[in-house]
Amino acid sequence: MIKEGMLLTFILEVLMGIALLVLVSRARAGKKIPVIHEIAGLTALQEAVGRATEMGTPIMFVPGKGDLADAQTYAALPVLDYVAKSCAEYDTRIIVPTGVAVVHPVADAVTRQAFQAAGKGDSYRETDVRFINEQNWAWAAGITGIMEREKVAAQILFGAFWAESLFLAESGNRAGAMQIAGTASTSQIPFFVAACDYTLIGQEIFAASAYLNPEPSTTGGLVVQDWGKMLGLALVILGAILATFGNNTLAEFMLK
Amino acid sequence: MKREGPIALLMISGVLYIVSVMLASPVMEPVAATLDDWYKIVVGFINLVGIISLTQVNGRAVLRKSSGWFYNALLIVVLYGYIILGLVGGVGNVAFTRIYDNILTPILMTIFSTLTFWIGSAAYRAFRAKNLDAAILLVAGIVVMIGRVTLGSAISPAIPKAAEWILNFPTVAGMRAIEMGAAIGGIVLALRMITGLERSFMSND
Amino acid sequence: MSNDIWVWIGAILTLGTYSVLYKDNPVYRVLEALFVAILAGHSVVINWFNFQKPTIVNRLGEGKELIVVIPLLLAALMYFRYSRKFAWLARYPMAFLMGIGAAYVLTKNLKPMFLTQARATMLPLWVPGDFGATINNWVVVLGVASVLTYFFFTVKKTGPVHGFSRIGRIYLMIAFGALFADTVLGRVSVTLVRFQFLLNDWLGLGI
Repeated sequence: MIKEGMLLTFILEVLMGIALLVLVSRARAGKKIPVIHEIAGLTALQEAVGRATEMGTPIMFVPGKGDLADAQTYAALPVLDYVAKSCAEYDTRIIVPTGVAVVHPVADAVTRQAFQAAGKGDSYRETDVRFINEQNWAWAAGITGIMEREKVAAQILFGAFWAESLFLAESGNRAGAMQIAGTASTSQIPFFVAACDYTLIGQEIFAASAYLNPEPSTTGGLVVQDWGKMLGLALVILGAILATFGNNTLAEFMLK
Repeated sequence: MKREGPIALLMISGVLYIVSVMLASPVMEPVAATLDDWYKIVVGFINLVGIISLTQVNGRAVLRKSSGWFYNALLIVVLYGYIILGLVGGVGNVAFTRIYDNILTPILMTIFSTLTFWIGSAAYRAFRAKNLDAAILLVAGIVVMIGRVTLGSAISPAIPKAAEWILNFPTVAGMRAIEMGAAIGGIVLALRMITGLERSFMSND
Repeated sequence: MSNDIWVWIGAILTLGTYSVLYKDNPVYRVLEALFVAILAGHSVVINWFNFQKPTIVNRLGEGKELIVVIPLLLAALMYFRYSRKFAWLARYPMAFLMGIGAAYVLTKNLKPMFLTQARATMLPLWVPGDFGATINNWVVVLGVASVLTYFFFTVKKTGPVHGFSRIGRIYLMIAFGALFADTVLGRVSVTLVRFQFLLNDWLGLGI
């Protein structure tokens, strides 16, 4: 028996899981992979690496302040992998300031692995993936210090952020860095939109891995994401129509 | 074992937790509590990884006499001095709390307050963009800003009402949809991890 | 002016920190180092007294809960990341945290972030006798639906889908402008507190 209040979560997640596995196996069998709309911020990642390479200064990749129980952290890692690979290929330095001790080894592993995959394992500088602080403002102050002193060419902010988001983005502007941000932390999106050159909004960060590394698992995941949103759309419209006629069955079912 | 072992552990621990949370079973219920506890213990005991990194980065800068190495040295001295002070004297000792309250807090509050200045420059840049998106952002922003201060109601009582309306209806709708989409995005990503489809977080070597 | 040495120190630290608004400088760099070091040290000490010590002494030490040896060993494996030969062992604690982390996402997010939000949007599109409420409900339902459409990644955005998703984009811009402005006032109040400290507590101007 499923626990009370968990039934709908269970059903929807099982359905999404099945859909995911079916789509992935179909894609692996060579079935068509859907076209993914371009996300400007992701296309700009190469521009950021190019800019840093041209200037001979580092790229800063900030993987947010979320921990390993925050989905946004996992959304940031494939982007880190992609940027680190590009940096390794062009012999450009990448600095990754972490603000959560448990995320630090993961960010380190992803960056190191990216350098190895690019055949540049020896160029990987361990002290460039550096822990700054668990406290948001000390973390942010440490990052802005690096930005100022290392003359960072581009800052890429991806993951969960809190009030320090604007502090980071504006410091990047002052340092003259190109800035690409992506977060699903709703209260911080406006600040990134205002201060950065490109901003990935909300769920766009979860589409990043499919866009940067299109393979069955990632694109299959993206299709399921779209189906989930379509379901949301259908539920909202149907629920509103039912509510108009005084029927709250669907609304009540949402609590199951 | 180097790659498959961890992936198996990821899948087993994840599935076990989900089952124990979702199933109404008195046998499984304590499992979730135990895993919660273990998660906290692992997190709580690997925090030194951060301090080691901080020491490595700053220590190397000092040893290499990199530009500004004095600041790196200061950081290390204060870090370890403060840790020793706290561990030996306890968290209640006067020096430990004095340093926190009278040195750290003013810096923290001041850094936080610099946001006001950043908001001004960010707003200037955002609103300078000459396109429809920026214009809409600007209008909504101005109405809310004026509507939330006394100036708004002095000009017209309609302005605070408009500000409230913008925040309570279109803003709520926009944020709600972002949250719904992000929830689905996160769930699909977590499903890919639990089913072993996402393996990129584990090194290949 | 204040006679309290701590007020003077607070004022010097405040002005020193504000100096970064002009540009990076040696005073700010000293303060930044102090700031990062004290907070990092503080977290180590607090974590030891509030969490690590009680776990070892009270739970493990008294032999009541020997089972906590398992997560402790798992945490210990993380420190093998500093060994070239055994670094792979550190993947086990990472994998455990990721497994539970993913499970947290799957068990805790859908209801508050999706189902409850969808439910809150199931509003009647006609409220008899209340035209204002009818309009407001339309605004919310249309907004949620159009923003969801805006974020479709694999659907061709042509014709009505394009138009609808364009409406979603407008909603987003309104929301961002409004939230930005709404936050400004909160931030200004923090700055005012700092200025009050400088002007009243330190300089004694009584403003």
